[in-house]
Amino acid sequence: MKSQGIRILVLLLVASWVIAACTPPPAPAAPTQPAAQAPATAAPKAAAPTGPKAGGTLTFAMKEDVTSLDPLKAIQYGDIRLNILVAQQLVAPDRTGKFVGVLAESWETSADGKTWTFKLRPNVKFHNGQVVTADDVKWIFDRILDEKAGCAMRSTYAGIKLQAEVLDPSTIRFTIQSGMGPFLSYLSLLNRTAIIHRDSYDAEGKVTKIIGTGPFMMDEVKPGQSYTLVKNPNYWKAGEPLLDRVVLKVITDPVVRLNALRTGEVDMAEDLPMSDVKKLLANPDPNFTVQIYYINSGERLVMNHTRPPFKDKNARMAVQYAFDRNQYNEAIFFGLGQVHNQPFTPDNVWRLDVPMVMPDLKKARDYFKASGLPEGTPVKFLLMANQKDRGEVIQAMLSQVGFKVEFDIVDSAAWNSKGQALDYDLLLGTMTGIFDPDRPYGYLTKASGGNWLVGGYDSPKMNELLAAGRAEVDVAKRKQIYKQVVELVQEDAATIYVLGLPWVEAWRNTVKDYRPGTSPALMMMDASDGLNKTWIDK
Amino acid sequence: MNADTADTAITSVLLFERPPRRGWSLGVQLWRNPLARIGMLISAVVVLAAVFGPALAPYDPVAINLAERFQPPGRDHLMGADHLGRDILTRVLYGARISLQVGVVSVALGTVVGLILGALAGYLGGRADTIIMAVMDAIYAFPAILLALVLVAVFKPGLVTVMTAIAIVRIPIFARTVRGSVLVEREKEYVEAARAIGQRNILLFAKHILPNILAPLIVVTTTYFATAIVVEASLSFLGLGVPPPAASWGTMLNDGRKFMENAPHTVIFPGIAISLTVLGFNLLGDGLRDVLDPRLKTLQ
Repeated sequence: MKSQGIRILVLLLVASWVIAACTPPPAPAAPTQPAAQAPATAAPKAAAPTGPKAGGTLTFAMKEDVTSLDPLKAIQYGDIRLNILVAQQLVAPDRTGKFVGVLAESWETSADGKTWTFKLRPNVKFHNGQVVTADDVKWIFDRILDEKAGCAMRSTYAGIKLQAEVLDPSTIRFTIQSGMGPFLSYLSLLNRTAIIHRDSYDAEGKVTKIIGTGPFMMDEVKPGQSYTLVKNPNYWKAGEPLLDRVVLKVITDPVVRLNALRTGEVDMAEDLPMSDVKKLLANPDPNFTVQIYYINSGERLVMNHTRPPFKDKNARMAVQYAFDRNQYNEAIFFGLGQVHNQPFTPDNVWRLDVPMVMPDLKKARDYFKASGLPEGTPVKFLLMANQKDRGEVIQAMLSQVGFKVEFDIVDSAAWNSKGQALDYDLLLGTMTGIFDPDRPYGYLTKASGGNWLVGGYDSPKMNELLAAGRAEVDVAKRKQIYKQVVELVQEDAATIYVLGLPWVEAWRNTVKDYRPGTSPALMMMDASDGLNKTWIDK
Repeated sequence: MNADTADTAITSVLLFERPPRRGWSLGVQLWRNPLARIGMLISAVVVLAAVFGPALAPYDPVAINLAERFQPPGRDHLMGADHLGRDILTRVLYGARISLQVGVVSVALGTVVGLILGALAGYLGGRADTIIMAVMDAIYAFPAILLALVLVAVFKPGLVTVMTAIAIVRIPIFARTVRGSVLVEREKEYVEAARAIGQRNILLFAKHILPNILAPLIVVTTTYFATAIVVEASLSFLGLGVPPPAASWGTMLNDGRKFMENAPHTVIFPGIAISLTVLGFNLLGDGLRDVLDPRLKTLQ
């Protein structure tokens, strides 16, 4: 009996080796550079078209939980997914990057760009049935400027000395002293400048239910599990939305999200495992469509300028030359990212003609030697658990130069607090919602609240350039200024813009007329497309 | 009866009570048991892999080679390559070192502390026994993996924390085993005899009681060696174990999980390594129990 057991054990071992050995080898890894902006889609053959049907529930697998229900404080990715369906802002960019009105019907600006007068869209109602007035808009901006409220955009609006004035119930005027160039992009940041009803806040200033103007209204909140939204019957766009209900289901594991999509547990999912995405693009699944698209977004490798070893420019230059963007793209994104030195898509108006610093191990070693650092200089890399693979790849690259990278893997809350305290040598940051160069490059000054996200970089020349870029309205002149900014970033090895992220969304065949937007969101920022016109054929 | 006669009598009692030396015969008896033999062989392979792994490994365990990514098992990579093109055989060999290190250190730490606490509780009895065993029961009430997770979350994740956490969650088991055995042994005549000639407590325990409670302790130690390896793999799987890029089997499983549909070998081999090692040490533990505790064997 016992010897039979042993035979079975041996057989099992041999069988597993054979199964593993029979796996077909992957195609040779060739660095790929996806076409700019053009989304790659893997779609099954289309069935005979039928007309849009109203009703039904769409379940979406989101990768991160919502961290704050207050749109004015929401800075995390999960917050954007929820906010964009529920709340709206005055203006937003369309697919071409041009700013168009959302809650604003039109606007005028003075010749010097310091006065902006917005006419509100008539008869737009909040979810509680009250009409949106200029007074509601002013209340939101006053709240953002109130230091006690702790809103994300306070330092930005206070920095440009914004003042809001109600001219009549449907007209509001903003006056600013600087920031004329990027002002509309500030107003477009939905998750920081959303116009929601004041009753959204309780006596302690907390939001438990967002009372916005979006196509969906909040219904049921189960933190960490799901957020159920119902159709807004008074939505200002006639005939939209078509869906009765949207359930945002929190599924943090990409493999589980893909399986949930396959089994029909969810109708849509985001951010699937890249190795599977590549396979699905080549061999589409008959039951769902996978789409990969590119927006202005970026990952950047951040070095701490305030302490050794990266206080020394030579040490930073060593990292800049040791870091191989293409290899990183291949290792982490299976070549599906867009390597860059500026967080704008290749066809974007703000993608400027500045050559990228290419990897050069010899130069990297020379700079390391010039820094006088000893071989095996320890470097503390602050990471979140889901960035482990990224850390390992970068660790391998920097070890060739002489750095010994040690990981400090923490949760997102600790990552934020340690990052803000500049308690790191290296970290990886990401950014989305980029409509103007002032957003990503604006961090490169001590005056910015986001300066910790570029390692506390401080340069008088950069401060001058950024101030000039903010004050300038003429696009051609601004492009010249920001070209110098990008050049200075590389010259100082201020931070390393790595690549544009490949955004992945997938939906089952029963989901009709969905078109990804210009941000990692289920809606277009300008309230067209996205889930507005989506219907479900079940 | 003069003093010399009394000493001789006590010595003969002690000699009579002590179990015969079992070193070589224990090995022979184990070898005769087929399952224990398998356990010994597997455990020996794991130990050899851990000791000589770095010398045997064909590649650098952390060197990234994207050209070799997901290579299936073959001539170049006997167990294939992972998502970053690292040789899985090499990483499995290095992983054996981590697993064994965790097993040895955590079980040794747990055994020593458990032994001291169990001995104190069993030998002293009374209030000391009540207090020590109440604390042990409180620790024992928590599921091992949960308590280890809490400890690792409170302290910085790393090899030392993992080993300490596993040791702590296992202390009550060792303490209970030792206490139970001491309670039985301390009432026996040879202990009374040793006490009668004025042997100090510490010496009495070390010289007379300890050798007589070693058998159950060895069995428990071997069994929990396997458990320690599983807990380490679980913690590493959850990202709370040995920091990357160290090749822990649990970390390898978690890395491979994302790609197991397209490259199953990335999870199969670390999975087999964990299963076989645990099986090996469990079989060895069972064999030791059969040999060292004949009563249990009879009951079976």
